[in-house]
Amino acid sequence: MLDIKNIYKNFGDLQVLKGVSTHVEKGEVVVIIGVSGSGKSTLLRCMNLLEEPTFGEVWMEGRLMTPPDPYLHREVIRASNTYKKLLSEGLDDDAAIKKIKDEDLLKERHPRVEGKEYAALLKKIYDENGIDINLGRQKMGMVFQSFNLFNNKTVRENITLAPIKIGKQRLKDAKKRGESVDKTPDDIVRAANEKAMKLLERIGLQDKADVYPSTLSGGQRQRVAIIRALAMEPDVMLFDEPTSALDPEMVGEVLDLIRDLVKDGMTSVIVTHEMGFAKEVADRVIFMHDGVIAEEGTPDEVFNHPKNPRCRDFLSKVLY
Amino acid sequence: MKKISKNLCMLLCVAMIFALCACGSKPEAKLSAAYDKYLAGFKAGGANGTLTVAMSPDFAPMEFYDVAKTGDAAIVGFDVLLANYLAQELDMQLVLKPMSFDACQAAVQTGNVDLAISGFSWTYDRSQNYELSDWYVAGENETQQSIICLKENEGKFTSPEDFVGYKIGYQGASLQQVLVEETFGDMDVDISLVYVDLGTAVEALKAKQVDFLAVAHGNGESIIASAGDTIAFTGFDFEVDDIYKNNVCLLQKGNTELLEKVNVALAKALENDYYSGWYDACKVYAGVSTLDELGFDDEGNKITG
Amino acid sequence: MTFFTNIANIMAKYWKVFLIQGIGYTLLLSVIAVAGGAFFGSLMALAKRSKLRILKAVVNVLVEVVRGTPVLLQLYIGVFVFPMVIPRLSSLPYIYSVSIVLIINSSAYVSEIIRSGIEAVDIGQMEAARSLGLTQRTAMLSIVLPQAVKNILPALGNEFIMVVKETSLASTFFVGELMTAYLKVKGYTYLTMECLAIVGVLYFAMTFILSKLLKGMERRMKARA
Repeated sequence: MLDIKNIYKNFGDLQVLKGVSTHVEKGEVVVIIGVSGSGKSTLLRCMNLLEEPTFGEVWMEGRLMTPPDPYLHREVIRASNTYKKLLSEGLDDDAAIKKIKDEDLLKERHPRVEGKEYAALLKKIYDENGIDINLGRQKMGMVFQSFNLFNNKTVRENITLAPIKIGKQRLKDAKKRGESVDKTPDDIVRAANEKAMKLLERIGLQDKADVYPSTLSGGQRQRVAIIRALAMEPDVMLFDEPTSALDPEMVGEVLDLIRDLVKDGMTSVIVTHEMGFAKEVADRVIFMHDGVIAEEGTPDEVFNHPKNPRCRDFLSKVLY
Repeated sequence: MKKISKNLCMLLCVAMIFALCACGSKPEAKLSAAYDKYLAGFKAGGANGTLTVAMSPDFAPMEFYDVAKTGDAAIVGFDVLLANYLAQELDMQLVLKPMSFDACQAAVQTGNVDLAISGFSWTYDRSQNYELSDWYVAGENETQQSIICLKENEGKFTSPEDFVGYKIGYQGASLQQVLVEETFGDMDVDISLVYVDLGTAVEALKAKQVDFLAVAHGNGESIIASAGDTIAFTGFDFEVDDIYKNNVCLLQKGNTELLEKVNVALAKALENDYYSGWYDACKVYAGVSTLDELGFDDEGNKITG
Repeated sequence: MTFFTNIANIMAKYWKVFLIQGIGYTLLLSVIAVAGGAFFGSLMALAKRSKLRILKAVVNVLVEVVRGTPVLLQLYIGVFVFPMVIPRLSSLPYIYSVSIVLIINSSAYVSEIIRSGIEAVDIGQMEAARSLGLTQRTAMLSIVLPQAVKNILPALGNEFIMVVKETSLASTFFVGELMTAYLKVKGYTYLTMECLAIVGVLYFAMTFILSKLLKGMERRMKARA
């Protein structure tokens, strides 16, 4: 469902991700672990494009979320002027492509420099496969370490804001296209509110529907943040260290909720330091180190029989 | 709530004090009688467009504000009468533009106004950068240049040597500066104190930061009248070259067409001696003199004969 | 003692000039400057965030120049140079040019106030909104700007108080505000210190009352949050 292809991410001169590829199947639970600075949060944020990858592509349900990366498409490389120049210098197809990839020779910033055909091909790839970033994000839910509930909205409004705004916009667009609509804006509002109350009941916070987030505890806020993301009915949930900012006594209630979701079959990618939890819910564990995936496998493989020395080092420090 | 009512009380007290003061106002219409007569005598409105004149109305009796009047009519003084006269002679509509003294010069320089009439004296530098009109007589305001002092020094300083060892102040970029530098420049007199405007200079004199002030005689009279009995003339007058004795109007360099017309009008005023009547009326207006002292009747008409 | 009797006399004769004309014009100019400044400042703040590099550059240069030159200089330019470009101005009283300059000046400062007010909002708010699939525009309007306003309003109030004092420079062109009143009365009475004392007290009273009002407003806003 979610395909990460050869992601590089640079912040200025600092290379944080150095060529990460993975994919997430429907219903899979992937847990990412590693030291601070290994790039795990960055990787997660690249998945819903909160960070734009410097190179590489992100595909969601078969649709391209990032701009096309020419280095991942041989036919595009072959259409470039740089390639043609290398061929004329005597290199053959494979060598030329390898040289271009290794030395980052394509002028990506100025696609016109590489020729009209090159630019046209890139455009074609995007036109055929691309998806509007907002649409893509509507299918992904993100939960942040610092909750990020909307301070100027009540709990209920936090949950219903996106469904209502986006629902109403869809109605408007459909009407503009001339399609027949069977819902009114009020229906949208009502449905959103009903959904919100149901979700709040699920976590037992229905009494807090009309208070402001500043009055809630950390654990309550994070659980509201999770159901806020769920209100959009995403196909995959991304959790960025969801319990790292919580007092210990509240970690449990949040993990319980996540466990519930996972049991219900929600595709999830979780960055966390909670190793016990990871062992319990993960289908696959990824250990990141220094911007690359250093170790990958089932929880049993990674936690009990780590092959990578760095991973072993990390685990020995973390699991005491 | 307590804080707000406390502030409200303070506000009410301040307002009451001001209101009490207001109860003491007396009408002083008589002062403007002669001036108004002259002003009414000018033909207003012109067929030749507008004449914009800049002046700095903080200089009684040449140009100042009568706050009892409103709008542009509140700007009064000798130079205002002159401006009205010129507008009449040129058959133009007068528009007064009040602004600070420096701004007046900038206004003429950029062509923002046609004329600046604000007690300007002739100086060499001005003549290089502006068209200067022929001189007009501003009463003894400019012909007589004096030095004022605190009352205790009245009449005691009559020759330049008397001032050795003392401080003499003056307004910057003024005729007085030129005179002071010419007269005292080589002597052991402190002439380093320059002031932005007369008001500041007068305060310095009162505060004894400076011993003497060089002023135009007419301004000196206004100052002394306001200061009650605390300031007086020393008795010393500068020797003033003819070329400095009078005022000029400023025009933009190159505006010779308007210059000629202005000079024609000024010549006519000089020939018919309009200036002295205007100046006297303004002296009364500025509270320096009274109507009958200067030969006016109660209605403001000049008594002849 | 004569100092205070002089003040009493001056107020008796000229209270209208100070209290009605002077304070009236001062407040009028301040309101015009800050209201206009808030409007154009918002536009400039928007322009600063735009993707059009030229627009962003032009606005930034304007803001730097306006903030980096004395207001008096800007007033001279407004009164003497603007009419060369906008002929209509030369037939209008100087208060129009002065108002335009004060508006431009205030806009520059307000645009900075708005920009920093927006940046002070935690970036996580925008990230959460975008992660839900909301557009940049909706996120700004529904989430970020309402929270930015809480930062902006107190700073805007301060700007107003600064502008009240800045209007005193308009006295160069005898526009009628409080400092002009000082010049008028002083020009006739030659009682500089007394006039300055009166005007000083009045300016202080204005800014004092305004800051108290501002503090009250801030307190009420905090309570509501």
